[in-house]
Amino acid sequence: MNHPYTFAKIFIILTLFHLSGATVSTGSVPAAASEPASSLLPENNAASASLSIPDAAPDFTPDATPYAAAPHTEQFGTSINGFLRDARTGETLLGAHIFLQDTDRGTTTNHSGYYVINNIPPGIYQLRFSYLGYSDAYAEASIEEGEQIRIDMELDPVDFTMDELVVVSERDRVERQNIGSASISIDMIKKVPGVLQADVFRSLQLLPGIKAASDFSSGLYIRGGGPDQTLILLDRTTVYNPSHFFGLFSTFNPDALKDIRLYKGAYPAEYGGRLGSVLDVYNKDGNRNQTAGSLSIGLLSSRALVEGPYAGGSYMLAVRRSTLEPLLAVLKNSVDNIPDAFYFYDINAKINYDRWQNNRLSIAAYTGTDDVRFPFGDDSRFNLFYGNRTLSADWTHLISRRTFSNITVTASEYFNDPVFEFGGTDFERRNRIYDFSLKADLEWLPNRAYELSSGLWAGRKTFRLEDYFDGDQTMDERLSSEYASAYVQNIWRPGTRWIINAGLRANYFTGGDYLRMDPRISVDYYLSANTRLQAAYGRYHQFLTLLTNEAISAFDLWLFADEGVPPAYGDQFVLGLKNTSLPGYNLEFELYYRTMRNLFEFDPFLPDAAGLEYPDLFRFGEGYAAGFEAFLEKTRGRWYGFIGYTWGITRRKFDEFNRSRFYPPKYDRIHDINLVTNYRLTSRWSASAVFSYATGQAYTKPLGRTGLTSNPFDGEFVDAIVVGRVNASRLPSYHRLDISFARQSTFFGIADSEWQFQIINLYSRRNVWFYFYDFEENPVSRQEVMMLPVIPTIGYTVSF
Amino acid sequence: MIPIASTNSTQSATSRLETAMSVSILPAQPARPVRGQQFYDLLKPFLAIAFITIALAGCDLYGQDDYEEQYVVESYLIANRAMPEIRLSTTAPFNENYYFEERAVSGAVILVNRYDDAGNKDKTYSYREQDNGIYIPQNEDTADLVMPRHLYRLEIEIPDDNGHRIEAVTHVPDTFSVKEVIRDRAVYQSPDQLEFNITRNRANGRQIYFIYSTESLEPSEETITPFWKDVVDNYIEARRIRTTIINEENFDINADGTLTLRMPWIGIAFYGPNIISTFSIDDNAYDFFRSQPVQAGGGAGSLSPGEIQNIIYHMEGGIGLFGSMSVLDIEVMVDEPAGTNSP
Repeated sequence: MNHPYTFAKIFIILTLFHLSGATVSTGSVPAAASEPASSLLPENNAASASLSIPDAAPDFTPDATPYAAAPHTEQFGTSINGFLRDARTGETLLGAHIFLQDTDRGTTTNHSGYYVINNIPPGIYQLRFSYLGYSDAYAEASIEEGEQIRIDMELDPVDFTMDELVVVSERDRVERQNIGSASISIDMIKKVPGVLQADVFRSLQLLPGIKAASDFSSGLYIRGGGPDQTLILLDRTTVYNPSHFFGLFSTFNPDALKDIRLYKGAYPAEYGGRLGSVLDVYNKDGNRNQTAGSLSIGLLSSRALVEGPYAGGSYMLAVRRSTLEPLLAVLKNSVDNIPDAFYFYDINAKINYDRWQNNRLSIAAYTGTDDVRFPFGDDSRFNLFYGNRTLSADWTHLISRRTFSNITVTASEYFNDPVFEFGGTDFERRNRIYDFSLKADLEWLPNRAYELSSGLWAGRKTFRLEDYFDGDQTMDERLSSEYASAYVQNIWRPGTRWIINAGLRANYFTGGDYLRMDPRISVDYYLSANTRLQAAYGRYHQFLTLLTNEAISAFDLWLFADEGVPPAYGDQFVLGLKNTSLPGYNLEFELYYRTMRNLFEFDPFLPDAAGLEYPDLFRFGEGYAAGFEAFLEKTRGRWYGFIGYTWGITRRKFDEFNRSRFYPPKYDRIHDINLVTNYRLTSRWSASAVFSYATGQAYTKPLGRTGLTSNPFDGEFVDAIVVGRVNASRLPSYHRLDISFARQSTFFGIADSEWQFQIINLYSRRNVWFYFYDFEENPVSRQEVMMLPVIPTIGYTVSF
Repeated sequence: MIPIASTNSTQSATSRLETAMSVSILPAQPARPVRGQQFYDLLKPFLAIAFITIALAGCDLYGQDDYEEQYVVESYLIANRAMPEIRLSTTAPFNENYYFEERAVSGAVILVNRYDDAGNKDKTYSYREQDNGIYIPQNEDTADLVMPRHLYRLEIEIPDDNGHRIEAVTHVPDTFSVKEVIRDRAVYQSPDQLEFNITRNRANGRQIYFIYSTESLEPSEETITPFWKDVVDNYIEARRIRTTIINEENFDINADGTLTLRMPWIGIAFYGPNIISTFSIDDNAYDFFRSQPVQAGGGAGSLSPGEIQNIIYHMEGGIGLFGSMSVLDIEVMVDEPAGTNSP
């Protein structure tokens, strides 16, 4: 454990050294001139009021715009700041751009839609507010020395036109091209063909570096990590099992979402707790201007959304529920083995109070449940019942024009209660995770060269696992652990070409009394305004592990580090090259290498956990992954889309498995190509297509066989397969083409509507999921278990 | 501060943004080559690294290995029963027929040594080949019983294979007995289950691992339970059934140190008289029977479909099971519930 402390020491020394070289002024700031709020409103753009508020914060001026942050020694104590919102819905716009025209100054909004440009020389400026998919808005600001000006702006979304369509925000050129970052727009998620319904995770799986385990799994396998190595946050609250329908879909309803941010790797110090990546999902705030909604009817599920303003702010309620019951009722009369019950639902709700000048309060809630009751045979049944509930309260506070705070209280519950009954004998499990936490983040923008942030995340996780066999409790495991993590992070722009983001995160987990340090650093070098070279390193710790099955996520079981079960950790090294030279195109390359050490996983050979010491439940091992990703995106025009290529390998090694040699997990795919394209045919019709190709997944080829011929228990022959290297063979390569056509129309003239026609797996490629071996035959026969066949679907959405 | 414009033209907005990026924001740049050439120059080192990496990785050092024949041993020492037979065979290629008789290994020299508590060898059993690949103790030892709490070492030498040696050891679990029969007759699936108190044979600091088997003494189409009727194609397949491994901690431990065993109804395949055998197994049998079902997707179920791990063997020079156990047989009666009509 020498590395983290060494890095931490270096980081602190560097930071102190550079801070000591900065010009610091804490002189008083004169009271700002105030102007009538109405004077700030662009005539056709409904910009909200601007106020000038005295600010006694230290007098630095930061910029978030890369390649433009020349350090100034002169201090003016000025700033322009405010919030950016969608003019139609009032939603805050995350990552929007604000420029002072004819200068080198500009910035982007943070995750609350807030921006600040500090230390502007006195004068008259034209500000341009820009967010792709929205019309630009402009404002003129006259600023005097020491003046703090607030300009809240609203941008009009661009209506689709035949000739021009913008699908990806301009922020992608900066923030979303940060090293390890990836994004996909909600619009794209809804447009690309999806199996039975639009799905967030399925869409993310099209991006380079992100793989799907199978057609039946929405799990995110990112840069060689399993699903447990991705931290999934919904409104800053951890979601433990984000899946519906045995894992076929994710729990995130696209209607309810505002923003999705994915860090595939080398993520910054503000996040922690997972070895690999972070998916940060935000629900909509709700339309602040008018009541609106939509209703979607699909083959598998239907969705309803309503959002609107109220006296204090806005609200949003989105409900999605499966609609299989009528089909099951019909089938039950003619087909055996139809479930007694089979449904899932999820509800997202959010309410905002934002009538205060410098404070905003929001409360968000999510609940989702899957319930399947399935009788089979004459005397057997199973019931799968699992889901998540989250609740968060978020308070955003502008302490000063340069200091921004965010405090969130979160509660998350994961429950999983499967029941099996065979011949009068019950197997029952009750698994719970309760996670209550407090998050506090502080952003401080002292000057143009520095952007400091720090935060604390502390809470308590409680894990409960009860097993019942034949009515008797056979396991009653209850683990509780407090956890706390704190980070400091500094984005430093030492010149016009460099951006250095260095941070340190400290993690403490009371279960086992583990204190771990995670240094992180990333460096961007602008070769030109359109070309960035990037490098990043980070150490990551993970205190949880997931017992899951790739085929079905309904039994997912999270387990914690504890005494004798130290946390897993790993290092990530990433190199990147990003280019936006060609108008409307993004080109990205990344190389990564990451290690995974102290991996702890539930021992797959464990037949019965009753009475075992906690560490005896696990196998321990290590792993690594390396890869190269290329991504070319066309962001404008009536034809747009992207192509992503990944070359990657990942390996694992566990004591006493595969002779303690490294081997690839099943989801390891060496080559992976995804082509996503959308074309707007007419003003009403649009078409989308997704083509995927990947190297066949790893599998273990049986080499030999033998068996026990005379076991004393039941005398039956016991088959034994003899294998060599585990997962050293490959299934046939995977490829699939999905297409979708959408037609926009009106619903009896009172609302907009859209028909969506899709064909999944157009040419019915029978991709192999795995091989099944029938030992009833001699010699053993091998049967192929296939993935999805051709599936046509239709959907209808009404928006009002 | 005066708002000056708003535009609905995304084209112009974007163009302006680009103009701003290239004109207003950028510092003065020296003359530079054509953008495409410059871009290509930039990419060259990056692509070179990528191609080298891919090329190196293309030399897959983790290729699929070939089948290699291995010796397979099978033998079960049961406490207080006669010294067992030992079966010796080889594996077969996976895509070929497998019959033990065709894979049996003859001509092996087999010894089993017994060690006392102090670790001293106190008896050696010499084996002879009774049938093709099936070895039994020499005549004078056929009646010798396996002694509980003793260590046995298997030594096999195969002269036809340059004296290839196979070795394994097992520690025979202690015996246990019925302390009290609480209920040895019950109505199928009634709340009052078949129940016994047994002594514990815990040893070596680990809990006991049980496997239960049930043998029906009167199996028939008429007496098979509904669940098992569904499971098997022919009722006779369920005449003897067994459970997976069940840990001792699943059962109630009484104040007097005994264990209360309640027979789960899933373990009863036929109404009428049954013999329930409770096996307490050694580490070798435990590891074999916990890892073998995982090959077919059983166990904890956390391996991906298609990932197959070898079974855990405790054997040098071969694979298989040289295991031991103690067993307790109890005869019980299971009554068919009133009102059910057996098929």
